[in-house]
Amino acid sequence: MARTARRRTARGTVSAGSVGSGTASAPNAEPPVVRVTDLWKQFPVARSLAELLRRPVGITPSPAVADVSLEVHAGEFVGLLGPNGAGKTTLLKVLATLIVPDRGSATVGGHDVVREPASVRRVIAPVLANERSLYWRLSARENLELFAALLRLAPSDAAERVSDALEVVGLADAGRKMVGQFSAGMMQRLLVARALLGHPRVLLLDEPTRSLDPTAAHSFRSFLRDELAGRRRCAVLVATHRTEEAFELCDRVIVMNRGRVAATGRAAELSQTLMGSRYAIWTLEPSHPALAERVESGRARRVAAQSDGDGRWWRIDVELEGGDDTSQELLAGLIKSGMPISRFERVVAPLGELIERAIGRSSRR
Amino acid sequence: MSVRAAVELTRASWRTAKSYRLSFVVSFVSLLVTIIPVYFVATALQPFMSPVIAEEGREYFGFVLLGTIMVAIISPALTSFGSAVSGGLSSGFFEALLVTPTPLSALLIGQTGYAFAWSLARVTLLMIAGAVLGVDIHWLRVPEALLFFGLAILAYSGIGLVGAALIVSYRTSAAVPQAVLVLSTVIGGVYFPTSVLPASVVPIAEWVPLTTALRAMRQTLLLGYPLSSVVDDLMSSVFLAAVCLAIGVLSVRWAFGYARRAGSLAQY
Repeated sequence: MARTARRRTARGTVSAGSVGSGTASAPNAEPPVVRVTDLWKQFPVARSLAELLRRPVGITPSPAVADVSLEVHAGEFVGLLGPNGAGKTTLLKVLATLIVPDRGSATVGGHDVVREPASVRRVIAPVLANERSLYWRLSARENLELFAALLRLAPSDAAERVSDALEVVGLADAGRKMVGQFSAGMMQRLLVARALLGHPRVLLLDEPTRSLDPTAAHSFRSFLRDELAGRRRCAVLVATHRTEEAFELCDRVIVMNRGRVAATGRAAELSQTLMGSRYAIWTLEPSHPALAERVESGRARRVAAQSDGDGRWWRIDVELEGGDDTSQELLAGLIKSGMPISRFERVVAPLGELIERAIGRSSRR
Repeated sequence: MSVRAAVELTRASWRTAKSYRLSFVVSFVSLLVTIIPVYFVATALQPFMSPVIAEEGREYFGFVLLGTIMVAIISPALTSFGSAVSGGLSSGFFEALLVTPTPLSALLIGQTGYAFAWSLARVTLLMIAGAVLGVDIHWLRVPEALLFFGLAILAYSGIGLVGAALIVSYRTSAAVPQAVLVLSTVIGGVYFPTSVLPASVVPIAEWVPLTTALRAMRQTLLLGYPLSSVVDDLMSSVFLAAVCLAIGVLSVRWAFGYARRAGSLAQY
């Protein structure tokens, strides 16, 4: 397990591959663009009159965000991974100045989100709302021209910025088309174009691929990574409940559960730490001696076995220690032993399992 | 710069409305069609209404026309802020607006600007139709009339802002704007002067912003009174506009602060 112990403060700045609370941060000499310290937000719980009469006091709602600390630097792509209700969106909305935290602090570009919300809005661009937040009866260009005015861009710059933004997201040819005729993917790109108009230093994305099919989602993720973090050096904070999205897209991943940071670290290391190296093997012989021998000797752990409909082909899930070298050795060994294998691939653990592991490891610390 | 933002938002709403061409044209035509029966009914009632409305006009059609015009403009003042906020909250558009550096006041004005502009266009059309149908208007008193018109808009915008604040805080306006609209229409002197109301209701009617503004508007526009003759109504209208607007602005400020703390400043 790649756990480092780089601590800066009394509470601790825990870097790549750590599990539990602490400031989720990457080693970087530059000051962070986003800094969140011990942030806490608890929402009142709506209760019916009957409930109020039955139990007027003593209800303590669980916090939406609890003692969360993190830092994000320029050009960094950070994923907030967690199930619904984990506190990801609440955290993004605090940074976007839409929610005031109960305690703790958050700064964006050096500006406090509570004391200087107007300054924060000049450096941040949230893509929180969905495609209904566009004017569907207007063209893409007209939508962007409107937001150029709202972002207070000089009229002389606005036209050029709009053209640039449309070009960047690959909608230059569709600029005159009515947004209502766009596909979900095009609308998602337009939302990003809208966010890019003001040349933000920080971009907040909430479930950016939620309405996209797998192919469009993959292409959109490549665009986000190459254009935003790569070329524009934006600090990007993306909230997602898709494990593969977080680990494929982000430099660092912060796993959240019930408002708390359950684990944080560099994507590759955290993936190894939390998900282990799980592989699926499709074979005709699920009890092949070569595989059985490796399981008995502890070099591989058999997690699950499932046959296809007619019982010929089996999918065997195994976990390995040691990463790609071990998996290569296993595959080579099984084939050499004559085990009939049609497919062998890495498996991304389900989010629930990943979070359970993070919580388990956190409590063992 | 904030003015530009408000204008651009209004333009966006205008472009959207314009894209529904048929509905746009039908709305204007229906307005003209509606005014014709009002003209005939008012002409028929003229002998009976003439003595009753004497303090505010000579022709009953002109009297009703100005009442209708005022209702046409206070209606968006009361409801457009709430509609813009609830629509924006449910679509997520308001959230997208609030994270821009544009001040809230410019956003609210921009979001409702089209509703007001559209109502002004309809009101202008009604005035022209009225003139064509023979209403005796003292055109030189238009500036005075516009003053009362503006004060009524401000007063009812304040109440409309209270409705919007309730929506932001509690997701319902509690029908406050609609109740005020109905009350104003019934006791504000739209179709009959307040003098015919029961004696116990008249003092209440005097606290309705529509009553004073509409009475003064009729006296200036239909009877040609100078501003000096309607000073009492002017003072009342200014007072009611200032109080309602102040309450509205404070309510909105409080509501947005509350929603930011409660986390409800987002989609429904």
